Amino acid sequence: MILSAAIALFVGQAQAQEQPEESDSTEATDPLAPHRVKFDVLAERAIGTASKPVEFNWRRTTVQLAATGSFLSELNNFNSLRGGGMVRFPTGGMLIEVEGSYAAAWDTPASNLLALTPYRQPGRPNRMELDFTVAYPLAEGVVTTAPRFFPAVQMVFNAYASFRYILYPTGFRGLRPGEVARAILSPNLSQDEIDNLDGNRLNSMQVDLGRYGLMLGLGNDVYFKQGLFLSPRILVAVPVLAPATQTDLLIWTDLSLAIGVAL
Amino acid sequence: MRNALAILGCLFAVSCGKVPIYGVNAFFTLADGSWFAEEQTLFVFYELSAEQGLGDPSVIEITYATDEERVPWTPVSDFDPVHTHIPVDCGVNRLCGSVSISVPLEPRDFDIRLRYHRDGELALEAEAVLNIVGPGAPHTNRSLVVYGVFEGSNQQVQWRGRHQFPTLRNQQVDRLGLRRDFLIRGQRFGTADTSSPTNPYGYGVDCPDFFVDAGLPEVGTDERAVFDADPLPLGASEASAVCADATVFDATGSFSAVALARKNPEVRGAFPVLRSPVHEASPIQFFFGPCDRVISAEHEAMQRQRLLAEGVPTYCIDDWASPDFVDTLVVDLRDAVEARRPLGEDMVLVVGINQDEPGAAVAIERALAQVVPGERERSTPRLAGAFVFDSTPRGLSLPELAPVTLWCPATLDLSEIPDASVRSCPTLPDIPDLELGPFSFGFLPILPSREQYLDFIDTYSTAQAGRVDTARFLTPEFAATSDHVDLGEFGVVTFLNGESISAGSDDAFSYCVQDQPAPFFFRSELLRNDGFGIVFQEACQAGVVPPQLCAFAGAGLLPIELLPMWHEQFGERNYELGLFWEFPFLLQAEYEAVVAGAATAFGVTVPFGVADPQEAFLGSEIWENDSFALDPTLTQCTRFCDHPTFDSAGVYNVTDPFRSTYAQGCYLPRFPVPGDPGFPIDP
Repeated sequence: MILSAAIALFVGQAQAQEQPEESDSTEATDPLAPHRVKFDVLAERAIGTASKPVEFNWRRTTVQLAATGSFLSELNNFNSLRGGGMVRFPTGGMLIEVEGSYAAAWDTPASNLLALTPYRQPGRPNRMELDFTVAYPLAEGVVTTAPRFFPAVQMVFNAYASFRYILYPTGFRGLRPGEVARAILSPNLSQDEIDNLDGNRLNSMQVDLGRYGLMLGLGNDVYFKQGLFLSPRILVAVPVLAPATQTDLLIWTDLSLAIGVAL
Repeated sequence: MRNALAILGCLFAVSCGKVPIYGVNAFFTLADGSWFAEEQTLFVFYELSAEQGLGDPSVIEITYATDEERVPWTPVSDFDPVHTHIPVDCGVNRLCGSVSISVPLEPRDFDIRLRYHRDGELALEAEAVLNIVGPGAPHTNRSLVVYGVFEGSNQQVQWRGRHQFPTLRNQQVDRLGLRRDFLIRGQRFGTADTSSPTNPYGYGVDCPDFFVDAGLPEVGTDERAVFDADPLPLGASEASAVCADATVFDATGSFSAVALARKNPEVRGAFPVLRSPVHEASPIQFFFGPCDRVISAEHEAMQRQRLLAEGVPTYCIDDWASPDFVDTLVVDLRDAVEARRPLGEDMVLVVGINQDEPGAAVAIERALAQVVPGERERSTPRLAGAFVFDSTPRGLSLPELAPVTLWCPATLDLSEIPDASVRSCPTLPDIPDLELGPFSFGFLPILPSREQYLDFIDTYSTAQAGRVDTARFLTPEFAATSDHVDLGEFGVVTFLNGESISAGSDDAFSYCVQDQPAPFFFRSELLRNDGFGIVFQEACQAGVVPPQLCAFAGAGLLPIELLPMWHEQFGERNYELGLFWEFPFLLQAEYEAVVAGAATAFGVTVPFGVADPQEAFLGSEIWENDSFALDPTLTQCTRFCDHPTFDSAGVYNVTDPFRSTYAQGCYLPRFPVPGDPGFPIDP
C-alpha cells in the first residue's frame, strides 16, 4: 500500500516535469507540471533505496542458534562428515559465528585398498573442530519462493571468512599440563600427539600435522518471517598458513548447511 | 592489490592437487632365528620400525624348511608356541616380538617378512639371521641357564634364569616377550665351588654328595627370578654354596640340571674408626720487643691484641746481637715449658716479635730451633709447636723449625710448594683501596705486617682494623706408647696407641679412593724388618718400584692404599695403623674482620666500617676432629672372597670376584632383597 502510494507520487512528479516540454498550453493549465517525472526515471531512483529488509530484519535479532552439518571434500581417499551447533551474533551489519563440531572420518574402497600397500595418505582422524567465522552481507532482499504457497523470505548473500581449529582430545593423553598448553598454541601436532593418535587413525591414513587453518567462502542466509533460517554455504580452505602448520591438506572444500532460529 | 592477487594466484597454482601419498619406509632392525638341537626348538625374534603406518593389520610371517617339511609363509600368531610369549608394545610405528616353534630337525631356508596388511599381498622381506646351536653341555648349548644368588645377609637364595642366545642379550630377550618357566627342587648346601672359567654360573655341574639337604620347598616362576620362600637353616652358615635341581621346559618335554648359588663375599670395615683424643693446648706467651725505644705503639698494641697477650711483659731484645742472647733465651723458653709441664697439658709457644731489625727475629728463630723441634714427638704433656707473629714478612731461615712453627706474616715463594709453617698466613699482595668519589674502601688481613697496619690506620682507623676474639690451639694427645715415624718434609706418621688390623691369610682388602686422601699408613712385621728395607731400597734404586713408594722405602711403612696389594702378596696376619699428619697443632681463631670505609670532604675524613665475624684455621686441619673414619675407605673380606660380586647397580658380576676386582676399587654392592620384581638387571 505504502509502496503503491510512493510510486504514484513519483509518477505524478515525473509527469509534472515532462509536461512543459510537450506543450506550453498544458503547462499553463497544470500547476504540477514542473514536478512531474517519467516512470523509468523514478524506478531508477528507487533502486538502492528499498534494500532494507522487510520480510525479516535479522539485524535486529540478539542471537541466532543453529544445528550444522557439512561434508568435507579433502581431496584424499577418506570420507568426512561434520555435525555440530552454531551460535551467531549480528553486529555492525555483519554476523559473528562460533561453531563447535564433531568431524568423523571413515574409509572408502580406495583407502581400504591403499591400506594393503606400504603407502599412506595424510588425513585427519575423528576429531572436534572449532570455527570462528565472520559473515559479511554482500546483497540481500525479499524473494519469492517456489512452490508459491511458501511465503516470501528474506535472503542475504554472504561472504565468509573462517578460522578453523582442530582439537584431538586423545592426543593430549599422558602429556603434562605445560606440554598441553604448548601443544594447544602450536600450529602443528607434536610427535607425542601423533603417537597418541596412532590408534585413532584409519589404516591407510597418515595423521596430518596441521592444527588450524583459514577458510573463505560464499553462501546464502534464507530467513522466514517467523525467524527460522537456512544457511547453505561453501567454504574453501586457503593454504596461507600451511608453511606453519605443515599440513598436506592444502586446498579442500566444506559444503555445509545450517538450520536454526533467530531470536 | 595486484601483488596480492599474484601471490594468491601462485599459492593456489602450487596447492591445487590431490593430497599426496607417502611410503611407510618400514625396515627390520632385528630378524633373528636360533635353533637349539638339545631343545628341538626354533626361537624367532623380530623388531622393525617404520616412519608411519604400522598397526594391527600388519603381520609378521616366517618360513623355513627342514629335511622333512617345508613351512610356507605363516603368520607367527598361527604357530603353537613352545614357551610363553607375551604381546610386546615396542612403541608407535614399531613392531617387535618373538615366537618359539617346535622344530625337531635342523631348519634351513629360514626367513622373516612383514606383510603390510593381513589381507594384502605386499610384503617386506628381512635379511634374516639363523643360528644353529648343536648338541652340547647345558651351560653352552641350551637357551636358558639357571643360577642362584644370595641376598645381603647370605641367608636366602634368589634363583634366576638367564637367556642365552647367540645374537641376543638376556634382557633384550625379555623385552621381546619370551618368558621361560623353571622349577627349583632339592636344595642342598655345602662348601664347594663347581664353577669354572668356562662355566662361571656352574650350571649343569653335579654337586658333591656331601652337600646337606636344606629342606626348602620347591619354587618356580615364569619370570627371570624368584626368591626361596624361607631362608637357609642356621647350619648352612659356614657353607659357601647351595645346589639345586633346576628343571626347564622345551619342545622335547623337560630338562633338569644342577644350578649353583654361591654366597656373597663377607665384607666389613677393616678398621671402621680410628679415635685419638684432641685437646686444647695451653699457650705459653712471650712478647719480644725493644725496651729502650718504641717502634710503633699502635702496632705493638695490635700485635698484643691479636695474640691475646695484652698483659704479657715485654722480653727485651735490645741486646739481640750479644753472643749469649740466644743461649739465654733458650734457657728462658725451656724454663717456661718445664714450669708448665707439671700441669699435664700439651703446650704451644705463642710468640710476638715487635722488631725493626731482621737480625732480632733470626736470633729468636735460632733459640726456638733449640727448644721446639725436640719436643714434637714426645708423649703428652709436651710442647707441640710454636706460633710466631712477627712485625715484618719473612720466611723461616731454619728448616728444622718448619714442621713445628707457624710464622706469620710470611713471604710466600710461589716457585715451590710452601710448607704449613708459611702457607697458613702468607702476606697477600697489596690490594689497592676501592675509590668511589669521596669514598674509599679497604680491608686489612687479621695478621698484618707493620707496614700494612700503619698504612691502613693512616687512611682509616684502629677501630676498623679488626680484632681477635678467641684463639684455641688444638693438638692430639700422644700416648706413652705412641710411635712416630718422621717422613721429613712430608710430615709424621704416628702409631697412636697400637691400633692394628688383624687379617687371615685368605682375607682380601679393598681400598676405595675418597675425595680427600686418607691420612693413614700401615706397617707390618715384614715392613719393619731391616733386611726387607734393604731389599726394598735396592728395588727402588733399580727402578722396579714406583718412585712415589720409594719416598717411604727407608721408613718401614706404606700408605694404606697399598694394603690390599701388600696383603695379596704377603698375607701377613697383623698390620699396625698409623695416622699421617703434617703439622702438630691447629690454631682455631675467631676474629672480627672489618670492611673499612672512609669518606673525605672539605679536608675532613670520617671512617666507617662493617664488621664481619670470621673464623680461621691455621696449621693442620686434621686436628679439627678426634676421630678418623676408615669405613668407606678400607674394607676387608673375611670369607668367600673369591665369589662373584654385586655392583652398585645390582648387577651380578659372575666373573668379578671380590679379591681381584676390588683391591683398588670401591665395593658398594646392591644386593637383591625379597620382594624385588622378577626381572633383575642382568645384562
